Amino acid sequence: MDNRLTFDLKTADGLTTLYLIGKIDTLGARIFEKKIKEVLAQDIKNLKFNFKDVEYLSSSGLRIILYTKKEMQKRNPDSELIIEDPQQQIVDVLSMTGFLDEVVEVEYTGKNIPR
Amino acid sequence: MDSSIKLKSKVENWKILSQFIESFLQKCGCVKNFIYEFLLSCEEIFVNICFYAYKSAEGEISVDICMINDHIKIVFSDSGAKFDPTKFENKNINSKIYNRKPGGLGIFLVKKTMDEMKYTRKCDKNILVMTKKIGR
Repeated sequence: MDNRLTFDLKTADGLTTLYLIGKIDTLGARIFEKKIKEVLAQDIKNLKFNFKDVEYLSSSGLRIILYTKKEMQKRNPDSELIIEDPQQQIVDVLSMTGFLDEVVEVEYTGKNIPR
Repeated sequence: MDSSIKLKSKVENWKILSQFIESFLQKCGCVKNFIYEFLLSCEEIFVNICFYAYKSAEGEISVDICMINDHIKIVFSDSGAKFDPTKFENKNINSKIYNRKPGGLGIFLVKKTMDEMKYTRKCDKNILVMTKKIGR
């Protein structure tokens, strides 16, 4: 089983969404970090992560999320980082670690509301 | 039911170890959420042993996993420098998130998701035992 993390980047109406597909473990976080640096090198004002296909997130991935938020806030102190459609076990980890509401906001697009 | 594996202390080996643990837990009939939390804790411990116990040197890590009644027990042992993850402090977690130091978050997650974590140093080995009740 190949659990390499892959991405899909979509921009519409000034909003950039990075779709992540796979596992964000220590190995995935390295790929995530490289990708986010590439994305942040562009002139992006609003960024969303779509986590619909993220089944695993560990502390190494949380660190990259925090890094992203800090970088976004350097550009605009009011900027929000939204995680779209996360699975319930990911929300649990975000909540346990205090990331939920303090670092990221969670949003559901409609068809992926967990239990 | 029990199973064992020995690995070199390379972070890349997490892939092999995670598959080993996942398939054991599946055989035990554990549900998806249990498997996720269990793997999360094991990853933090494995990566910490690679980074802190062995640092840049390469050593061996033994992992033994078993099911005892309604618990899963996993034992990590290594011959690296003394490293006690139970001693990592959590005080970080309540401070404003942006001021937190990067370390400690992973161990905090282990303490949150496992029922028990016990460390001993025996014969120049680090031995870490973690247990989690199935269905929690």
